Amino acid sequence: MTQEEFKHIFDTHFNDVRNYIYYRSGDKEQATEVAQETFMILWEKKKLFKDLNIKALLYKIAGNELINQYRRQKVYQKFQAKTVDESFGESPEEIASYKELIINYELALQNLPEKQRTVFLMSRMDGLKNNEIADNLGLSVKAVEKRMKNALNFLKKAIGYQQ
Amino acid sequence: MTNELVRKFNDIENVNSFPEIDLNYKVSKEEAWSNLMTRMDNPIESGRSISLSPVFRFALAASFLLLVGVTSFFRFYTKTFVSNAGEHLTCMLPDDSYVELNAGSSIQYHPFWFIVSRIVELNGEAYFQVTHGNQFKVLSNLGETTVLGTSFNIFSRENDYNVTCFTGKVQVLSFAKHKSVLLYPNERVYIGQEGNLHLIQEVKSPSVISWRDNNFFFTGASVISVLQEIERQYNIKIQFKGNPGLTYTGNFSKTLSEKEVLDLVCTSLGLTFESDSKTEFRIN
Repeated sequence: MTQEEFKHIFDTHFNDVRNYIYYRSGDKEQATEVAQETFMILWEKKKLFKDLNIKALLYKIAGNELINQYRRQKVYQKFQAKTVDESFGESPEEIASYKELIINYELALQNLPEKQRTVFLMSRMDGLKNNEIADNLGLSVKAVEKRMKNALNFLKKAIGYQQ
Repeated sequence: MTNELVRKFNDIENVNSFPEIDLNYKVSKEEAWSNLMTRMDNPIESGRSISLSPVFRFALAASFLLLVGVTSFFRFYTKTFVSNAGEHLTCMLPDDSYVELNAGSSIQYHPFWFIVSRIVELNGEAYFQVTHGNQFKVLSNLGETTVLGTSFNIFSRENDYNVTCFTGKVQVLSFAKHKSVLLYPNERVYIGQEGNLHLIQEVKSPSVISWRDNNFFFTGASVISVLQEIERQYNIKIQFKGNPGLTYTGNFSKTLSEKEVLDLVCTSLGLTFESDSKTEFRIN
């Protein structure tokens, strides 16, 4: 692997890997750290990793690295929804009820089991298809579907969605 | 606008009806790359192998060997108690369990490993009173007896193996058939031919361990086994030329001399005996 090839891999996958770790841990700084470490490991052991599925490998290394760090420190999770500032011309009640929804949603993301949250956010934020998530994480499509379904149910219930 | 969002939020059908989350990181991708570049240029920083000095390596190897040596000493160091013909022996095991050996019997165990696993090898006959605790195992040629804490008697000589339980529960395993049986107080099991287990209930338990008080009871016992018991108790040799199918029922106490005992047994079976020397006898 030359440095140019490595740079290409970095450019293609860095964001996805970093997001993946953030989805799991809820800690942005840790996500950055783990993602950097992941690419460092890939570079140091490039000979070992020849001819392997680079994408799945990166997710695997990143996951392991996260677990290593988890042992050292228990992190406080934080997920923040993108705020909507175009709320003019609405009654204060409506704004309040929307804010409440957002707070419930953020809280629900924290409480969502890690595996379900990861799958959900990979789909929501990175726009990945179920089969792509399955490939990246080395799971079966069925497992991803199941996690997805559970995550949606959990979130619906948590934000008080009734029908 | 907000109204519409609330509606959309409530109209959840797919993933994308949920709001996005904020994914702005303090460190940009470009910064992350330049961090990596600096580390890639100074690979020593991330070196992880530790080099050891030869002396330290030798010390490490030596202490490892010492550890292995000490451990295996504690593991395999063996203590043996032997009770010769004509004597009884009482011994205490490291866990305060109490073993009484009949004449011509022996036990073997690993004293330093005893806390870890209580295993005793028995050859002959012995009465055990086991302190309550972990599994206690008695191994013999034909079978294995397992208990937690109880008292029991094992007879294991040549092709005979029988166990009598006095208190608690005892598990007996036959090696040949790999079958086991659970004994309750006053039950006895013996391993018959081909390794089958035979259970006898309602055993008169005091007579089984009367040997501890130097009394010997026989009920329909083969004459050979009776004479063998006498040989062991008095440390004598007996030559028997009669019918080996004879059975004997009766008892004797060791307060009698060997001649008196032989007289007792022979008279009731209609046999006669002669003594060749002090310790050798012939029965016709």
